[in-house]
Amino acid sequence: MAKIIVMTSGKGGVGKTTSSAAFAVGLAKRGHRTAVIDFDVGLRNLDIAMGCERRVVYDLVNVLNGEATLRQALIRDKRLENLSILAASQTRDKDALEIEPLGKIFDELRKDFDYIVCDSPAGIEKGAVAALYFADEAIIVTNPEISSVRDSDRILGILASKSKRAEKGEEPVKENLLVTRYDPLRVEKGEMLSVEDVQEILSIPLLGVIPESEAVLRASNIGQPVILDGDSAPAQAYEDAVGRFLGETIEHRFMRPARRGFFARLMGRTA
Amino acid sequence: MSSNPQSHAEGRNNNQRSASPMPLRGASYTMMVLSLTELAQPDFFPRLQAKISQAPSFFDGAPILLNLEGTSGGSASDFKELVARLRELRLALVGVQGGDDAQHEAAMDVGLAIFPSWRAGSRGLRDLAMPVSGSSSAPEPVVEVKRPLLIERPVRSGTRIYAEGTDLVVTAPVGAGSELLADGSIHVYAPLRGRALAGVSGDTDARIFCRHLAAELLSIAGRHLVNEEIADAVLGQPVHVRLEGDQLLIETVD
Ligand SMILES: Nc1ncnc2c1ncn2[C@@H]1O[C@H](COP(=O)(O)OP(=O)(O)O)[C@@H](O)[C@H]1O
Ligand SMILES: [Mg+2]
Repeated sequence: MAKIIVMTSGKGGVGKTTSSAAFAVGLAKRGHRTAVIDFDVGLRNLDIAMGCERRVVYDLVNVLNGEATLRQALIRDKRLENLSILAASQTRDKDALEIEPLGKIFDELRKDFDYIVCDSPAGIEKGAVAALYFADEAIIVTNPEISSVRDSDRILGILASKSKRAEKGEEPVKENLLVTRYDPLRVEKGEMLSVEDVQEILSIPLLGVIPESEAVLRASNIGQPVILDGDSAPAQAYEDAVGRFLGETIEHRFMRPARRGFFARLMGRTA
Repeated sequence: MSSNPQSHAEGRNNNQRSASPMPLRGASYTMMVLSLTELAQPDFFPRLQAKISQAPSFFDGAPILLNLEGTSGGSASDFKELVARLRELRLALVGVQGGDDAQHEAAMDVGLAIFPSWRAGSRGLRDLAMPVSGSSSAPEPVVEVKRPLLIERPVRSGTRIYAEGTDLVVTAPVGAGSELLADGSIHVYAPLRGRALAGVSGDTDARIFCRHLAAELLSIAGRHLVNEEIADAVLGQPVHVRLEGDQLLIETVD
């Protein structure tokens, strides 16, 4: 049974796209047939994060409007043959996302994929609701700061009231917390909320903590999801999170400041 | 903070823009019911007297409803006499239920109210159990209690919950940016970070309880405090909030 996952947050710039790309690759690497869909119509950037922006012919809105088939619009990843990307349109707006035709697309995707990762736009309007409507599981991407936590709380409320599962009175969408851009040093100084604080406020299970790292920017600049940057802390953190998502028991890491080695300090490396 | 938080509960009347709000408010009470068929028994008043003397304070000044079901007849002067006899026992007959049109006319003539009848087969009347000194039997309400509205999932930012005509009980965290409203009291068995407005229809006896106070706003019957006005000593504490005169009083509880 295919599973639909929404990567959502309410707030923008917290790491939804970074996490969507990482999760899609992580799931595909483990052999699952995976599709990742950009719902950020008008501000597409999942294709850039995945490094396939120069191969986009058709997008989600084209498929919704019947201007292209799903098969034509899905872009096969060059690194992993069981991974496909469906880009967002840059020229339309989010009102193009109608629930009913979307349902048909998901029905079709469910036949060919094990996991369908939906990269939500920011906000709580139509685009964000469309991205979460069909979800079986939600990954709530949250930065350790009050405004991000508040927006996550808001989106959790929307999941519990406006998703298809909520409307149909089915088992609720499963909620997972992913704390991103975590800087344990700043947490120690009291400049950021701790994971414990965030979890206490949102009261949903913790899937993982992704440390703040320059490796993320480096990866996005070369169009390579950071999870493929094997040695880096965010790559390991995302691997762990994907493993936990699939039911593995993996101890949490990256929540305390790393003791930096002499060389690392010399080179000014953060992680 | 100048807007009156009470206005939220009155949102239902918003379409009558120019009309000022009705000065009438709803409330529901538990009342004792006497049935006329019982009353007709010769030893009724001595028995009632005996029952009252077991727990005088429980009955003192209590409102009574007369059930006319299965009876007919009775003039205005009959009702008047009954009111007087009950008054001697310090009971206040306030109205009748059941019965026919002629009975209703007569009851109205002496200022009694006509209450709706129990639907057939409804859980209407139960034997009155009252606190009796020396007995361990708990008092049981005569009329069905309106259950509180029970919320067992976290109340998320942007959500508003209104317990109409009753209390609100929440067993999960109440997020900042959410709003709890109740005609009765509000109980939160978790952190309260949103707004909590109890007694929104004017009940000054309504209260707010929570395990961990971090509310954006607390209000009882329209009197409110914003977070900034809440003393540091009680923030983060389990508290009990009530109205004393015109002031919200916040006390920690253990
Ligand atoms: N763990 C991280 N460490 C450092 N920078 C990050 C991290 N996660 C995301 N970023 C950066 O934050 C910005 C927003 O990330 P993005 O994934 O596009 O967020 P969203 O999709 O939620 O708007 C990007 O510049 C990205 O490189
Ligand atoms: Mg994005």
